[in-house]
Amino acid sequence: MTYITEPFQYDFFGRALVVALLIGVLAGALGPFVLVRKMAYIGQGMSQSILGGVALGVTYGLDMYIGAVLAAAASAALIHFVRSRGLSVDTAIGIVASTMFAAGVAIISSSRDRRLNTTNLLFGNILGVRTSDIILVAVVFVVAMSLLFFYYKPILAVTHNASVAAAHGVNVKLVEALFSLLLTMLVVTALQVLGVLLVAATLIIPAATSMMSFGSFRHIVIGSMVLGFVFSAIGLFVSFHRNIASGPAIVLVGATVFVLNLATTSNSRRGLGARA
Amino acid sequence: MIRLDNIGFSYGEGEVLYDIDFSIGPGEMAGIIGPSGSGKTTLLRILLGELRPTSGARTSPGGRTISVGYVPQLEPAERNFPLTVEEMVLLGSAASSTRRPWFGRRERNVAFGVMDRLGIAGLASRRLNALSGGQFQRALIARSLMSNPELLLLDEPTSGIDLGTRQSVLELLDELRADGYAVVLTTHDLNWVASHLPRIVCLNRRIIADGPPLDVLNEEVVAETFGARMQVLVHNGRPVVIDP
Repeated sequence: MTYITEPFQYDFFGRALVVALLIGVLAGALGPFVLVRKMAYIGQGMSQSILGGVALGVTYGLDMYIGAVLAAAASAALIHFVRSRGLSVDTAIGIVASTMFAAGVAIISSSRDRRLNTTNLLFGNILGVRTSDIILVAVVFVVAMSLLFFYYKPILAVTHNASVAAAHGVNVKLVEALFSLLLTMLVVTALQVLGVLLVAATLIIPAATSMMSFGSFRHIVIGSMVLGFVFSAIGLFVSFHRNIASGPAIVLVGATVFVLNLATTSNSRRGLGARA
Repeated sequence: MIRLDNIGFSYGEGEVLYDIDFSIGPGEMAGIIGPSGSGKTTLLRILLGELRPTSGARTSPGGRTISVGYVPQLEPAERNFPLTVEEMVLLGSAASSTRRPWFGRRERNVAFGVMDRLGIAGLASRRLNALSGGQFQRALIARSLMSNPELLLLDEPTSGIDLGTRQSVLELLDELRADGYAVVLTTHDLNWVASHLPRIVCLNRRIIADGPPLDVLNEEVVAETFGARMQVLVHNGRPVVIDP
């Protein structure tokens, strides 16, 4: 029992737990879409790209989140530009994300600003969660979940087959823009707890675990949200008691459950994720 | 119902289609045949409204919007998507449905009515990757019918399915045609079209011939469409193309 109650003696833990749970549920909700769209690499690329923006934002007195949003927008524009020159999307993401990540590390390593702690930015830090972070994450959570609630059917239709969805009257461009916006909102707000390197894992692991257990997409999304919640909660307690960064703790808890599920699930239920 | 007048289409410099005159009305069914690169899919996408012709006009009576149901080619990725049959069929009404993330009783009743008619109601809770090729094809058609279309467009509905399934798909399409749907499909399966459809359109960037198979399928038309000379015989009142 002490294992559960002890962390709450510290104010920062309650704040971190609220943020981690909200992020876990949101990542769980978006994860199945990311997985079947084969966009895991985009999530990884986008999260790496924002490091440069965060570093610049903090160095020049801007808010960390504003720097992250600007970097995410810049990375999306640069990826689009590189793709327009005939390179494949994975090459474009690889080049843009790696370059912006390298720029971020370069700025951080040359800066003497104490707020720029490489380990915290890369892997998350629950000690750094402020009340203002909770408010921001809560607002983003409500907006993102509302958008997902109201646009669930069009997003799913476009994810399954964009041509068919367009033929049947779905505004594909709007849905694609909306989904990119949701992904950006998640990546930016997850920064504090998960760090830039592990956001993609929280999108993928709950979704992949749920996908092995359910056949209906609706059940997969609900299962993934529940798993995102549970992994975040357990991960944060592990992080506190084992004194390890919160991002890796959450991801390792999820990975353990995924492996156990993998070992106990029959072959016929695996390998379901694919996009038309 | 829908009419293409002197349509042309090009991607940049290359002209894909030119001088296309085509129309289809309620209760009619046509099969578009032609070799790879002949513009079949482009023509289908123009009928669909997805592509805007670079010349000519796509019109409908009174300029009203025609509701279209689209059945794409069978693709493994689409079939491996983690959806149940019912979920996929319901997605056909995603654009007109409420903003709630679940479908209402009325929509589910419509979906079950469509699935029942297509003989797949018993598979509603089955995952797509557990269906046979024919069952999956029927599920795709069921989804296209959810938007209550006037025009049904099918891209290569006979590819990737066995002979028995082809026959049942054709019977189903013929029933839909008899119910007043306009049906247009593309295929590279010349003899299947020649022996089963009431109307064929031979396409190779322009329409070489358009009409009942027996009237339009001869060695000259086949040679001009496919760029290869093939013998055309008549068997039981239907043309048969002998692939050398």
